[in-house]
Amino acid sequence: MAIEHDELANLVPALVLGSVTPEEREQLLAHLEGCESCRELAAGLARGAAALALEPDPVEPPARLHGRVLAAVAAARQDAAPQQRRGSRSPLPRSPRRSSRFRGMPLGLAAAAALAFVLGTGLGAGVAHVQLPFGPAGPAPASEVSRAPLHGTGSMAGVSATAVTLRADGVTLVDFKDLPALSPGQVYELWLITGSGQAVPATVFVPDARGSRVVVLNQDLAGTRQLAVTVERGPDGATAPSQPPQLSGRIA
Amino acid sequence: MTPGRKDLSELSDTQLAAALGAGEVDAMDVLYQRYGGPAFSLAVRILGDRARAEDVVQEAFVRVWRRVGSFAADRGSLRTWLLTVVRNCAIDNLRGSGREREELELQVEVRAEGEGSNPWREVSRSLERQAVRDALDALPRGQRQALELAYYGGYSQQEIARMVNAPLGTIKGRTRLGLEKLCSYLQGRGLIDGD
Repeated sequence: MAIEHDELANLVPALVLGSVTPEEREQLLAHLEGCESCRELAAGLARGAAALALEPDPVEPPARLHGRVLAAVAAARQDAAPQQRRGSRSPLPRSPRRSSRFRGMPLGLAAAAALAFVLGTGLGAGVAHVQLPFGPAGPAPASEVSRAPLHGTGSMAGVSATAVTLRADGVTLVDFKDLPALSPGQVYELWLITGSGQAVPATVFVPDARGSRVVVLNQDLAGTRQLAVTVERGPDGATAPSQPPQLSGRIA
Repeated sequence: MTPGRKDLSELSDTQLAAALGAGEVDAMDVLYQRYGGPAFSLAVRILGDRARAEDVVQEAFVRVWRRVGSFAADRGSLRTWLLTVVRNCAIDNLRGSGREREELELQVEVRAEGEGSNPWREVSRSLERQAVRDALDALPRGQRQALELAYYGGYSQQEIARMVNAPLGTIKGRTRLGLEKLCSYLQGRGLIDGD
């Protein structure tokens, strides 16, 4: 039986707060199409609901999140064309052809482009056919790119991981696959091991449900002899490894 | 002249949305620099977990990129839309619903905080935050509870009624009264427009 108008109107505040069931939402949206008074009510109340997003205490995001976001957007751009965009002409000119492969790109975009180049083609193979996500810039000379596999032992014996450094752009990506699931409250921590054996914390991360994650580092690993990964307590990880690494790789 | 990063950073939110709509990936960088902080703060508020909040913010920005074609500047601000996407992603993550919440296409406008320098932006955000807190503090406890469980918890009216052991009609009434008072207070403070 259809819900009466007054009953629907009583649910409009819940609708703008996102506090209705999917079925109620469907009914309400259909109702709003034909009910001007409810539409006006929703529009007015939605302003207050939106303001609730401004209430939380400010929490500074970790620096790595910027790179993560941009890399993910770059990957999304590769995966599929965005939704049909409004208007047929761009109100802004397109970015100019870049003078070097990735120079001038935001870190994450450069990283994603580097990943597309290196992981998508393999070093030294099919370079002329690389499909870059950001335009027609040419491939990087292989001398600018170094690649180092990481090897796992124990519970990480089945992990596949590769560190890719694009020296000219000062960007390193570490592509992890098949990482074991973490216990609640735990994170993986990536360490840069210097020539003197000091472990420098690089970043912490949590893989997705399939055990995959691409970690982006804003550095070219100069002075780093080895990469290592340990499991540490989240969310911020440790300042020194709490255990011997079960996943590591030597940097060329 | 082709706009560089500096030029993009000087765009208004409306112009930035147009740049995103035109496929300018650098505009996403500017969007993050402008609103990454509030987005992360909101995700942490809802999830109470920084690691999960990072995942949610990443997901939200990707969703914005993919759906920017559906954003209508004449219906609301880019900031409001982005934060709504963050809220919905966070609730999906919190509740494990397995389905993406769609953003309402309603006329929603919270006064633009201004796109000026960072110091002014921080002051402006602080004033906005205090205004919303004052508005919530002014509500009777039951009304405030209903709003917070609905918005930050993503609970349906029925779920809230069960949680607080009150009749469904009471919860609907508290929600409506609370939201109306909140709107009225914020209009009086100039944070949101009236009719």
